[in-house]
Amino acid sequence: MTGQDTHTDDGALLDFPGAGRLRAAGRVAPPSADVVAAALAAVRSAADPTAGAEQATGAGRAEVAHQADGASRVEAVDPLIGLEREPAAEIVPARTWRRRLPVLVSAAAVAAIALGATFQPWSDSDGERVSPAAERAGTAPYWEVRTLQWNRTLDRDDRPDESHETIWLSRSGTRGKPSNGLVQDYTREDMGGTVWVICGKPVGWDELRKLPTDPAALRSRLVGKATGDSVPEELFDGMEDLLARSPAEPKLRAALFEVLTGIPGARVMEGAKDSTGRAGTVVELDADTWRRQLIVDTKTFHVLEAVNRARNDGLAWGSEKLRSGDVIHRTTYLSVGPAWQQPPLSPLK
Amino acid sequence: MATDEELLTRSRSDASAFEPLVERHSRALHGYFARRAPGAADDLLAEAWLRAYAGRTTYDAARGPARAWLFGVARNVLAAHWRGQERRASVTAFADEGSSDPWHAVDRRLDAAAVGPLMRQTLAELPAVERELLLLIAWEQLSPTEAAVVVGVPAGTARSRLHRARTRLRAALGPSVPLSLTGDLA
Repeated sequence: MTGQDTHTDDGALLDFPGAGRLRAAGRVAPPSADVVAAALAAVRSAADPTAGAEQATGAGRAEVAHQADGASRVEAVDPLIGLEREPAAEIVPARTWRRRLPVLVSAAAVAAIALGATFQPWSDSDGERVSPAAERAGTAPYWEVRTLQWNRTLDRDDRPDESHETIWLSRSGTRGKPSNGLVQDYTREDMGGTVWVICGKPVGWDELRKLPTDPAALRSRLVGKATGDSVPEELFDGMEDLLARSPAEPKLRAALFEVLTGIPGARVMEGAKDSTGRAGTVVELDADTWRRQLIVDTKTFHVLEAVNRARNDGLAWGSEKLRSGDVIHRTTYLSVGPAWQQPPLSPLK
Repeated sequence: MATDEELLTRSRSDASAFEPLVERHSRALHGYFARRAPGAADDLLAEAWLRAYAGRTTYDAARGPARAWLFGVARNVLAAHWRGQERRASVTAFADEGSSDPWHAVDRRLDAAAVGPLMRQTLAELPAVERELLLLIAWEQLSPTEAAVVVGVPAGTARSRLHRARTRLRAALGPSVPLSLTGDLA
C-alpha cells in the first residue's frame, strides 16, 4: 500500500452532520456466490478459451473475502518551509482590468515566445533545472510542478498541516512525490495519459496545442455543452489546472487568463502578493461558502498561488468559527517548468 | 498469503494467480457497481474482471496498490455503461435527466435510504470529482490516496477537494439544521 501524506486529518474527512446516514446509504447486499462464480468463470474462460462451462460449476462456492481498509501511514520526510500561516495577500481592488488586458496579454505572450521561456518563479529551486535553451514548452518530455500545500487544521493545537509535493506530467501520465517521499504514479495505466478535466471534458497533452487562442473560441471549446450553476466554479477549477499545472504555450496562457477573468462573478484585483511575497494579480470567485482565489503572474500567466478562504464570518471549522477571509487551503506553486527527466518509482513496501 | 500486488504481478505468467483476486475483491467491486448502477451490477462485475484480466500486464506493482488499480478499471467499466445508457436513451427518445451521470442512480439510493433533501442537494451541487472522491471514501472505504489514484488526480489535489467538500457539507448541514432535514439518525 502506498502511503499517505502525514499531517492530515484524513480520518475526519467524513466528519460532517449526516455522514453516518450517508455511509449507511451505501450498504448493499454482497453478490451471490453464483455471480462471483460467473465472474471467475469468465476470467478462466479468458485465460483458457478451451475451458468450458464446467468451470463455472466448479467455481460456484467461491468465498469472497471482505475488503478492509488497510491504509498505512508514512512519516513525512520533507522539511517544511516556514511560510506565513495567515493570509498574506494584500489585495488592492479594483480597476477596469479587462480594458487593459489585451495589451498585457499581447506584450507578455510575445516576449515569452521570443525568449522561448517558461515560468520560473523558483528562487529556492533544488538545482535540477534544465538549461535555458531547453526551456521551451513542448520540447521537454516532462513538466515539473513543485508545490507547498497548507491546510487549516481542525484544532488550533494540531500540528501544522503543510506538505510539499512535486509532480512530473508527461504525455503518458503523471508521477508524483508527495511529502512521504515515495515516488508513485498518479495516473492509472488505462487512462491513456495526462488529461486536464475542464467542465467535465478531458483535454489531453497534445490537445493543448490545438486549443484556440482566441478567448471567446477557447471558452466555447472548454465549456462545451456544460450548463448549470456549477459551470463558473468548474471553469475556475479548470483554468487553475491549465494555468498552474500544464505546459500550455504563452499565447494559450494569455487566452486562458482572459477566460478566467471573464467567468461570471469573477473579480480581478491588482497589487496582490502571495504567501512568499511574490507580486501578482488576484482573480477571485465566490463559490458557496468559500472565496476562491488565484494569484497569477500576469507577465507569464502562471499561477503563483491558489487560496481558498472563508467567504463570510461564522463558517464552522472544527470547533472554531472562521472569519471572512480566513485561509482554509493554500497551494503555493514554488516552481513550474519543463524537465528532461523524472525520478524512478519508489518500490512498494 | 500473497499480497494483491504479488498476485497481480505473478498472473502475467501464471493465469491462476489472478483467481484469488476475484475472490478477494468481488464483494467490494460489486458493491461499487450496485450503488451506482443497481440493475447491472452482476454483469458489470464480470466485465470489470475481464478487463482487469486483459489489462493485468499493464499493472506494475511499483506503481500503486492493486485495489486502487482495480477500482480504476471498475470506474472505466461504469463510465462505459452509462455512456451506453445515454446512447440508448437518445435513440429511443426516452432520455431522462443526465442519464450518463451515475449521480442520478446514487441520488435515488440516497432518497431510498432516507438521506435528507438538504444533504442530497448539497451533494448534487458538489463538483463531480469532489462527489466521487467523497463517495469512494465513504462507501468503498478507500484512503484519500487510493481514491486519488482511482479518479486520476494528484493526492494533494484529492485531499484539497475532499476538505472542500466537507466544508460545504458542514456549512450546509451544520448544527443549526434540524435533524429532520439532514436525515441524520446516526
